Amino acid sequence: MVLRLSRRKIAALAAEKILSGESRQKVLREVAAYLLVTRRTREQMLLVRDIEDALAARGVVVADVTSAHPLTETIKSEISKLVGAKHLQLRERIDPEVLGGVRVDVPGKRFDGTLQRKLTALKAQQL
Amino acid sequence: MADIKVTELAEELRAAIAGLETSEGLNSVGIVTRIGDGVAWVHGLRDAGFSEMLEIETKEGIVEAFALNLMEDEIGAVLLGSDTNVSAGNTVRLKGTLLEVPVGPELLGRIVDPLGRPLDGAGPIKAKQTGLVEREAIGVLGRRHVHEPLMTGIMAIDAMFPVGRGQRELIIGDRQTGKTAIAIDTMINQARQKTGVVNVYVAIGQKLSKIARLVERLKQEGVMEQTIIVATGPSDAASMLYLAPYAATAMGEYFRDNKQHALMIYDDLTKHAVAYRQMSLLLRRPPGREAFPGDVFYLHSRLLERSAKLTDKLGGGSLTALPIIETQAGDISAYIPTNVISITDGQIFMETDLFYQGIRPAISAGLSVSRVGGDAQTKAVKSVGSHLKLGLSQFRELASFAQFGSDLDAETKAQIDRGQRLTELLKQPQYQPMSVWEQVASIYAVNNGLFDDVSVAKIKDAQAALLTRLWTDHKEAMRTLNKGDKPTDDLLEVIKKTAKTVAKGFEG
Repeated sequence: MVLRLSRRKIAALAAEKILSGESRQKVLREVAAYLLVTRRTREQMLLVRDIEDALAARGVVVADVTSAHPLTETIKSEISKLVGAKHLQLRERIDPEVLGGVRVDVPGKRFDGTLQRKLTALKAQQL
Repeated sequence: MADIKVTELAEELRAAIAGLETSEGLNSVGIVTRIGDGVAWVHGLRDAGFSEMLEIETKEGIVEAFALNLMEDEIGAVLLGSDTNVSAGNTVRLKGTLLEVPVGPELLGRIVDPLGRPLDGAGPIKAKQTGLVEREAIGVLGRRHVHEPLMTGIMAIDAMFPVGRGQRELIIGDRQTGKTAIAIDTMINQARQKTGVVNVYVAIGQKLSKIARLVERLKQEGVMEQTIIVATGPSDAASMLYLAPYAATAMGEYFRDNKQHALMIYDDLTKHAVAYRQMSLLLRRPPGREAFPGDVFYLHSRLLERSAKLTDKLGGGSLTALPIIETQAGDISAYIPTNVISITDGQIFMETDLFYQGIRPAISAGLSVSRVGGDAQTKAVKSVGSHLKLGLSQFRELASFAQFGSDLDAETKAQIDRGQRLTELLKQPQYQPMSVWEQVASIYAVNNGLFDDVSVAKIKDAQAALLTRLWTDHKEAMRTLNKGDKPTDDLLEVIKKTAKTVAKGFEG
C-alpha cells in the first residue's frame, strides 16, 4: 500500500529534487506516478501551485505579471526588487480587463496595483 | 537617563502602523478550489489564523468568510452570506481582522443581523465602537457572586427560582409551552419596574413572523427603547445562525463593561446547535453523538461563560443570560439539553401537561431549580415564600390522590387544599408581570392560610380584590414594601387584616 502524503510534503520533496539538479522530467514522472497510484490526479493543478510555493520558499520564484500594456524594463526591475528572490522568472500576460497598473502573482502572494482591484475595493467600501 | 516621552512613542507607533497599512506590498492570497452549501475550500493562505476574516473577490464584489478549518493543504471557510456569486478560482485575501460588530447605546431600539447591519429600515447605525464577536470570558478575579435580583415579574419564578443579575438560568421545555412568553414577560418587567436593565433578544432561526409579532408587542409595551433584537430567520445561512448569539453577547457586554446591566435572551440554543452541526458536517469534522461535533459543549459553555456579575472595581455591571432550549416530548436527557443544563446556574422546566391543564406559566416545581439565585432573591419575597417550592412539589406528588378527598387523613387533605390554592395563585396571564409588593401580599395571604376559606375557583378574584384594596387604602405602605426590604411586622399585619376582610367576601 502506498502511503498517503499531504500535497505539501510531496511538493517539498519535488522541489528539493529539482533544486539538487535531478532531471525535471524524471521528478515530474515520479510525482505523476504517485498521483495515479493514489488516485489523486484531480489535485494536479493544486500540486503544481504547491511545488511553485515550495520552490519560492527556496528562492526560486516564478512570477505571473498581468498588465493592460506590455511591461517596460523599468517596471520589470521594480518587480524584481519587490519580489526580492534569488532566481526570478517572469511570465508576462496582457489583459485589458485590468484597465491599468500591474498585478504580480508569486506563489501564495500577490501584489495588486491594478485599477480593476481599486475599483472593486471602492465598490466594497461603498456597500 | 534620557527623558523618554511616551506620548511621542505612541504617536510614532501609530504612524508606523498607518504606514504599513497603506503600503502596497505582496499580500497573501489563496484561491477557492471548491464551493458549496455555504462552505468554501481555499488553497493557499498558509498564514491565516483561526476564525480570521477572509475576503473572496467575485465578479459581483467581495464576499466575506471566516476560516474555521485550518488544515495542512487547505482551509475550510464559512461564508457570511450567499454562495451563489462565489466560484472556484476566485481569489481569497486575508482581511487581517477578527469578526467585529458595532456596539453601544446607538443600537438600542434597533433590529440588526448578526453582523450588526440594520434590518428595521430605520437608517444606518452610527455606533462609535465595535466589539469582538468571539471574546474570552472574564476571569475569576473580575467576578463577584450573584447577589442582586433580576425580577422577572413572574410570581412562580421570583418566589421559587429567583434569578440574580449575572446568572445563567435556562428555560427548557417542549414546543408551545410558553418558553418565549417567560422571556418576553421578563423583558417587559424591566421596563415596567424601571430597573434600567437593557434587553438583548437573539432570535436564532426563528420564524420572521414570530419576530415581527414580538417587536410589535415590545413596542406596544414601551420596551423597545431599551431592547436590541438580533434576528436571524430559517432562510439565513447557517453561519449567521451560528454567529448570532456571539454577536449579540458582544453587544450586551458593552453595557456590562460600562457599569450597566444587560439581559440576554437566546431563543433558542437548540437551533444554534443544529446550525453548528450543519456547518461542522459540511466542514467534514467527525460527527459524534446525535451527529453533533465533539466541541458542541464548548460551543455553548464559552458563550454562556461571558455572562457575569463584575466586581465593583470593574464597575459592578452584569450580564444575565436566559438561554432557551426546546426538548422533544419532555426529554431533558437528550444531548444538547443535558449540556446546557450542566453549564447554566439552574433551569426553569416547562411542562406540557401543566400547560394544557391551564396552569400557566406551566413551570414544573419539582424539576426547576435556581442554583445561585437564593442570595439574590428580594428579601421581601424571600421572607414570605420560603416554603413555597417544597409545599408545591409535595402537592404535585399528592395531587393524584385528590380525587379520593374523603378517605384522606386531615394533614394530607390540608396539604392538598393549600397546594390547590397555591397553584391557582401562581397562575399568571401573559404580559402582566407583577411588582414586588403584589407578589409579597399575594403569597403571604395564601401561604398563611388567610384564603383557606376561599374556594379554589375564586382565588384569583380574591387576589385581585386584595391588591386593589391594599393599593387604595395603604399606598405608602405598599411603596415601602416594593423597595424589596424584609417587611416589618406592622406591614404584615396590614396585609393580614385586609386579606381577612377581603376573604369574607369570597367564602364558600
